[in-house]
Amino acid sequence: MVSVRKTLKLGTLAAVAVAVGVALGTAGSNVASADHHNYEKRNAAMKSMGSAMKKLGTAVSAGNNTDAAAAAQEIAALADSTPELFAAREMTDKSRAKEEVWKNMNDFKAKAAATAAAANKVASDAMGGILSSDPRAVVGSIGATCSGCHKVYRAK
Amino acid sequence: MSGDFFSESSFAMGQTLRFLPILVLPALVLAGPVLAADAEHGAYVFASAGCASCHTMEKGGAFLAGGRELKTDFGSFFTPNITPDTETGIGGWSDKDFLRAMREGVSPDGGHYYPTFPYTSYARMSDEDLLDLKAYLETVPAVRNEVRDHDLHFPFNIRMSVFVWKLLFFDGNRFEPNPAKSDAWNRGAYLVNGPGHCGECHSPRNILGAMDNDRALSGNSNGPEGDAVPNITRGPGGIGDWSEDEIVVALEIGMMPDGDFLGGAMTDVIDENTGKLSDDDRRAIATYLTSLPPLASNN
Repeated sequence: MVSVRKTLKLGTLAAVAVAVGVALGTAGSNVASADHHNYEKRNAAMKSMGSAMKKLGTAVSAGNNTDAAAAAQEIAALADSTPELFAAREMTDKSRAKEEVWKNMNDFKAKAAATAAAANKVASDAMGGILSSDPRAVVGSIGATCSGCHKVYRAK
Repeated sequence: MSGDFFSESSFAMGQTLRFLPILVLPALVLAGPVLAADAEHGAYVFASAGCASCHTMEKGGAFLAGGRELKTDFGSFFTPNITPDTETGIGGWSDKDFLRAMREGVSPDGGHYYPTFPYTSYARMSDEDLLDLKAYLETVPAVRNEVRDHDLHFPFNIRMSVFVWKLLFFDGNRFEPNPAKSDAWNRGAYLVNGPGHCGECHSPRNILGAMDNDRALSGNSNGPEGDAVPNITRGPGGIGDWSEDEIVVALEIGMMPDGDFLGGAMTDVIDENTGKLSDDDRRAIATYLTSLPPLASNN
């Protein structure tokens, strides 16, 4: 025979357990990922960076300093906005961002800053008319910072 | 070239051993390949063989002093010290020792190396490349570093098991150029299958860790560090729709056709290996890869 008291105690315990479970389950994300809004924004920014890199390569091949500077400035602006785009810790099925982004946010920010710095240098070289004429060297100088971040913070 | 050597030393040896002519010929035969090895070219071979990233610890390790942990399904391997230190490295190895290690996976004391060390690919390399590589390695700073033993699961911790593995899976074949193909294609085939050892990551493996040569270069869902490695044949899901030019650019600076940049383990390959090759060699690799029939992806 089970006492009423015991049942209430067990029931409360169960309710608490469920509540804790729910709290722990959602503790991982501080933004509801139902609409993937943050993922889409940051993914779009990354894709824009890729397009700008290609534009940069084309501009350097054509010897067009104006276009090269513009492309490089676009990359720098996107790199500057990256930490903000990743501020919300949103993980989705499609996202390749690793947990480490949010565990090591200071380093993640430093890597974004490195990309901005490399891109800004290309822009100022282009505006000063001293940019290398080798498209791969120019694109590679920024690209090394892209790979440097992807190596640590992006999954396959 | 070996003719030059033979004529030089047969004169010298003939003079000193004129009373023992029967010893001269076998001595010359046993002397083996003896071009003056070229350490400068060896530095290039070193880049093409990608030794640096495995044989140097990731954080703060001395160059080529070993000790890097490679975690696999069989346990952890710790890479050896390949600096010229005579006690803890490969200092004092003869040419024969080196060739045997690289092409047969056998150490100077006769033990078998685990195929985590990709002699399965290096076996394809030429004598000249290997000896030039050895000459280069002799110039790097000797570092005293006693590397710990591997930490492998039973029964893989029994080194004799490698002997059986080799019987089953190791062919040890040298690279054979295909006379019907261009020089560039053959150079690319040599680089990819030999020093580049691309298949060691990019080919699927069986349960005993041997590469599946029928599906060579079609990707591996369980690659180093558990990451999926892409298909680099013309099949779908990898670089199958990349042009030759796009492959060349990727190998040089890591940029993909959409402007994205490679990450993961491939960054070391770009930085230490393909990024340091000549444009012609990168083009040769691309020529070879774009000729490969399309295979389905294994990741």
